[in-house]
Amino acid sequence: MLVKSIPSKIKPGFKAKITGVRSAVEASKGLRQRLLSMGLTPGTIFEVVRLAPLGDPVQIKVRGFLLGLRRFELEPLQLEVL
Amino acid sequence: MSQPTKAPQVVLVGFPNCGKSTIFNALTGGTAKVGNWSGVTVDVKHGCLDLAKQTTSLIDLPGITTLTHLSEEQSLDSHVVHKFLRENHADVIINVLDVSHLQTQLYLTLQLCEMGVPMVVAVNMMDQLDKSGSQLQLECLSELLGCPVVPLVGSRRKGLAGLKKNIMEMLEKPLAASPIQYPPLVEQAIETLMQEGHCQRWQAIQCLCGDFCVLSELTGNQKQLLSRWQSSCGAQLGQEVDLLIIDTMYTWINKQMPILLQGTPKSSAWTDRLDALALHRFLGIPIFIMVMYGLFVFAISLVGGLQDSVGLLTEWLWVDGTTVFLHGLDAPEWLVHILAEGIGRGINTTLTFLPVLLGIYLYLAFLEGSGYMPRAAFVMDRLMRFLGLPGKAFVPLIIGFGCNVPAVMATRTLASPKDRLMTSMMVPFMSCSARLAIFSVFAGAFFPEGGQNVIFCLYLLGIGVAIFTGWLLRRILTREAESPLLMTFPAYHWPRPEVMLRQVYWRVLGFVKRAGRIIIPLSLILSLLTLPAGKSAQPVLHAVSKSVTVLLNPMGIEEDNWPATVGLVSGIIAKEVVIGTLNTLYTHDDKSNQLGQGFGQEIKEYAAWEAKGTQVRHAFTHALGWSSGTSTERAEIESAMGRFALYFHNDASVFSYLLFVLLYFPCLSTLAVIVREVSKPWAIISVFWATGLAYVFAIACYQLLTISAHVGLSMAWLTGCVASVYMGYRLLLALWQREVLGLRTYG
Repeated sequence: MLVKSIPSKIKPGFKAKITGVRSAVEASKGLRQRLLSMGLTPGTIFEVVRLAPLGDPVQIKVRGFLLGLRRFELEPLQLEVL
Repeated sequence: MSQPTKAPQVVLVGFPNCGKSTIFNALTGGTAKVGNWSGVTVDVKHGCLDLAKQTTSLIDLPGITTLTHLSEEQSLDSHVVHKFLRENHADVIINVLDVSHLQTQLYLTLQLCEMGVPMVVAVNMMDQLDKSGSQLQLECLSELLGCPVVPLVGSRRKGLAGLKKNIMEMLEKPLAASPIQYPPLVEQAIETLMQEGHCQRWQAIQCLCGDFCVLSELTGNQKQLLSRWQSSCGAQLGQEVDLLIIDTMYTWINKQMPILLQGTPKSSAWTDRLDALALHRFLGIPIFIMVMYGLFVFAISLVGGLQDSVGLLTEWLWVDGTTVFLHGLDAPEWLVHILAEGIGRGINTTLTFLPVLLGIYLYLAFLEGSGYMPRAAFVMDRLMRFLGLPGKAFVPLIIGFGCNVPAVMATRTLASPKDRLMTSMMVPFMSCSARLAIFSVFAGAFFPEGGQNVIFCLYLLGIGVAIFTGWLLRRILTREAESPLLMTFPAYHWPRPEVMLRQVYWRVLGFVKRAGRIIIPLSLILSLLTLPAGKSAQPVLHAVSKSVTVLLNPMGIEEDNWPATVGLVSGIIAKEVVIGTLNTLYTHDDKSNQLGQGFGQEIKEYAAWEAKGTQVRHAFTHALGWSSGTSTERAEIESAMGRFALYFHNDASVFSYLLFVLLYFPCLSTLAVIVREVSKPWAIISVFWATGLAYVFAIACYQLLTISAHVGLSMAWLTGCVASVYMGYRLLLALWQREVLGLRTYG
């Protein structure tokens, strides 16, 4: 299933495959680059491990290690929910 | 950074928390020096590395996650690294990898490979691999990357000899080309850019990735060329060029990983277990608060308990000692005053901070070394974003309750200059332990019952004003995109004592050196104000205070209470001085000076000085728990309380005065670190903003508390208060928008 707006659906156990990263024009350039350089490239699968106490930054597991990011920072990613 | 010798430069590059500093310390021993890199406040450590044939200079750069420098707004750290790598011509790069996060860290390695600088890859924390029973094919990795790969356990100094040997070899031979081949069209773009822009391959690649530093140096023609290539790549390959480049690297890494690594290195069970607690949905915040409470127990009660004694000792040596010594030499009174009360007091003020700084830094070094800090940032992030600050900013604000000085210094962990500025401006409103001392004396005198509620109220008001300041500043500093959180979670470690101690040493030394330079001259100026004008005449400050006290009328301070004004001025040096000044002035007010004039004075003074020496010794034994509290001390406080009650006419005026003390003028030491961490103009704004708010809030508070007595007048004052805060805000906004006073350059 391809989803347009993921951030609200995210909870622990949420698993998705990255199908694309929005182009630099749409997403903030720095954010897009940082996501890519941390290994969130198309084809990668990640899983939400836990949410922070106030529900916002989320911890995800990608390529075998843990990353913390804010919900809106996931927005440039195009996802396919697994 | 100017290098005195032409020794070859060896540079440590790697992710944050990959163990660079441990390796740096192990390699350099005690030779490290912290240098400021080209005017920015990020410290670059450098030291000597002795190899068999020659001595090299080893440089420890801040941790980075990618070579691409994305925007001006982004962290100073990556800016420093980038600048260094481009301009300083590193002779050998040591790329440190944390084996448990190999995949993403190899991405940085590949970027470094493209630079063509001789490189040694040091795979750190190999012991974690052994624990999980997996194996890393080091020879295979070495062959793939075309550079030596050395296994290390930095914390146990394993593998250092091998690392040194390889550095030596790499000084003599250049690196093989990067193993990465991009799609043909991208390669073509790189080629063209290299020819047209006369740059190296890696610069062309970074250019295509949108690197800010490289882009800003391009000419108009080159920019056109770049955008043409970017769009043609996008059109023909269906992906943007930066994604293609990064994807190529990760595809390579994905392909090689199964060959390189047999079995998956698991993060240690301890890290998982601790994270389940530290990041827990409900327990996360309470645990954070407990950890921070531990900071106060440790830094303020245990180590900080020495503050009074150290203060007394340095005062005895530098202020009283100087006085006795110079009087012995028959030096003129004005010179004695300037040297003792100016320079001596300045040194005394600077050194008094050492115990608390030591305590706070030791605790922080432990937290940083253990790996808890990123967790704290994660847990507090959402809460702090109400203020437009990242979660990390919570730590400096909390430290502010202990002492504002290390709090301002702690802001340098924040990535964006804007966050550092905002936090530094908020910190002075956090009620530090020195202010607590003032509050408790007043509370004891005026609010024997419910004193703690009054103090708690003041703390809350301070926090409120800090939030208010943050909120206003956020409106002024039109915020662009927030710096992304995107953080990694390093495994928990047991911090190495020598690394901790060295870090504490650097920070404390940095404070003494740089803050002292500002505190002492300012203290000198204050001493001129208190210079006795003649035998019977009063110092300038006292005379001025008597006439200026009228200004404090609206907050309930009557003219006969002029010592309160003097107390405020002397409290600028350090807030705890307020009590001492009030005490002295209330005692001597309307009494003839008891000191004998003429010949006998010196002998009396010397005797008093000797007596104080004994007092200093008592203070130390008391602080270290070797003797119980002295009764004279308590009696002194009690008599002070009695005297205070004669001068403040009602409780409302006491509360307003305390509110003023809480908010006004960040003390000299705090000011000194704001100058250093932010900028001079902002430090001055901080003074005006804090003092202005203190005045307005104290008046508003007094008028509200006494509104029943004079409704009309109070209402007028309150309206005036609101109007002046608004005007202050407009003024600051106007200054910011007109780009005057250098307000826009900070951090």
